[in-house]
Amino acid sequence: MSSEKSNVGLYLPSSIVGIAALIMLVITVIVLALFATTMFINPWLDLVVILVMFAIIYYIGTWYYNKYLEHLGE
Amino acid sequence: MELEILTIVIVYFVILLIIGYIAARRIKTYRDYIIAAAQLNMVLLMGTVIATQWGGVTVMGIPGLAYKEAYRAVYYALGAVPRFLVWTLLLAIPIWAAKPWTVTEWFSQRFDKKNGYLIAILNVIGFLGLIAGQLVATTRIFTVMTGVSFETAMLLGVAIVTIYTATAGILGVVYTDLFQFILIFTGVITLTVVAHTSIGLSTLKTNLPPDHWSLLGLDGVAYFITLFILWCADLPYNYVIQRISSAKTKKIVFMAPLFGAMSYILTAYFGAVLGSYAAYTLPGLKATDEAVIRLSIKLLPPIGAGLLCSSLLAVTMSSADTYLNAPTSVIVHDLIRPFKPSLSDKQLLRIAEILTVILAVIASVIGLWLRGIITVLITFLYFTIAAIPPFIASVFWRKASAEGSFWGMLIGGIVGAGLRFANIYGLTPPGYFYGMYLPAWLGIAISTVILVVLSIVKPKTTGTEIKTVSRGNISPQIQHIIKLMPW
Repeated sequence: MSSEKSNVGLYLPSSIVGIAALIMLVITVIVLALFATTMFINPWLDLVVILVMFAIIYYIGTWYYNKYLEHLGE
Repeated sequence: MELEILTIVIVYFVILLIIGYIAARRIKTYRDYIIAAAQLNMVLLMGTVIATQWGGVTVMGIPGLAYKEAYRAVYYALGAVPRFLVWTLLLAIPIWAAKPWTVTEWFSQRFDKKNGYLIAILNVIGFLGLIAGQLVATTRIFTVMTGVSFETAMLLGVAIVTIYTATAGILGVVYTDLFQFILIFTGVITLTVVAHTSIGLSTLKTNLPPDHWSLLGLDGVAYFITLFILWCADLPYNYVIQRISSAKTKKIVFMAPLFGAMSYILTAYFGAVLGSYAAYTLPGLKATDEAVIRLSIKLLPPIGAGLLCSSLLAVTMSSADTYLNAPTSVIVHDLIRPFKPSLSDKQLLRIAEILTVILAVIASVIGLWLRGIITVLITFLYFTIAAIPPFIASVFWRKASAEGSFWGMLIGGIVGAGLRFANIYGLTPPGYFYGMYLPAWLGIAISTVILVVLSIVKPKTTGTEIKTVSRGNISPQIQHIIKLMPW
């Protein structure tokens, strides 16, 4: 692989993999907990909770991208 | 089914075929399509990532689960959320940087050719389940619309998929997929709103048995973990690699599956709610996969139900069409061509045509045998469960060796799929533990242990250098084979 261009042989550093695993775990637990405790009571509450989950995933995801991936391999 | 709904379905399909035909004529060569696909912007990539998963299987199969137990459907759908996060947080950027065009190419690049061939074979086997799942979904829709038996509806479905493929083809599908997804999405939201206003959640809570809303306890935890593994088993497939490689920028390749994760929160909600409303309004339904269609006929006006049925049918059939072509390409491109380089273009095309028919027949037999949308789909994912550890390791663990990857995939795959089929044939006790959990957990555990141990004991050798389309230095022979591919 060493003969190829640097980004072709791109690997994620293990520190980033650890952060990614933690993010997956946190998001999964939050989503499951919200579904188990607040869902299927009132349609409007359901809508609000879904939007909250969207916001959590979006902001954590973009934070991870901006902090760890944006300049990776450059 | 009411004549009005059937008429809407027929009219919709005639319009769809005309659009597909016109669209296909506008693109002169397959090369045109490949180049276009390599420049997907955010909306298109997000659309194709979500639309691929949001087929008839998701929209029909998950409410089918919720018909009996709401939270089993929730866990099934939410298993896709961390799966999409694995895609976006771990896999997307390193694979996008290399831009491979097939999963075989990626495994050959990171490990060796032997691994490339094995993942190609596993893809073909796994695709049989995906095709069969789509065919069963198509059959369920036909069963409701026409009232014919499952067997007759399956034959009808296979015949129409063939006609659809011949008329609109893959190129036409490109133009209609997003439109159909929007239609399904709108239909599902409309159905949910109508059910909420006409029946209401409080009525469901009062009238459905308490077990229906059970969180399932430890079984729920085991079910969710297993479903997450099964969803990840859907990652080492060609269509995932292709979607990653076709993104225009790094940001786009990252964001599209992130939105995919969000879309499955909606799937969990809609699936659980619609399945539960169907359980209340249509008690005693034997084929629970039909719950959403029957609920739409019950609650929506004929034009709404007709449009929802039509779009479900079209998306399901277009997925079946894509899934039929994908393994054919893998067999021709990755398995036959390297061993028989002397085959002419005409011979390769003929082989591809024959293979398509053979795969359709095999998938139909599997569909007739297993019958449930979810059952068919997950059964064949057990073959690729063992490919998850090497696939994930390929993006971050430089020491992951070809030997470790190969034997992990092979032995883990045999154990996982073997235990799954042993349960289907009644050789192990019935129930979720022996039927779903144990095969998945053992399959992935064995693969991981073998990968790690062999990679440490027998260090990595240099992988085979694979030249990619994006680098622009592939041979004319390979360029021709790429033209045979459905993407």
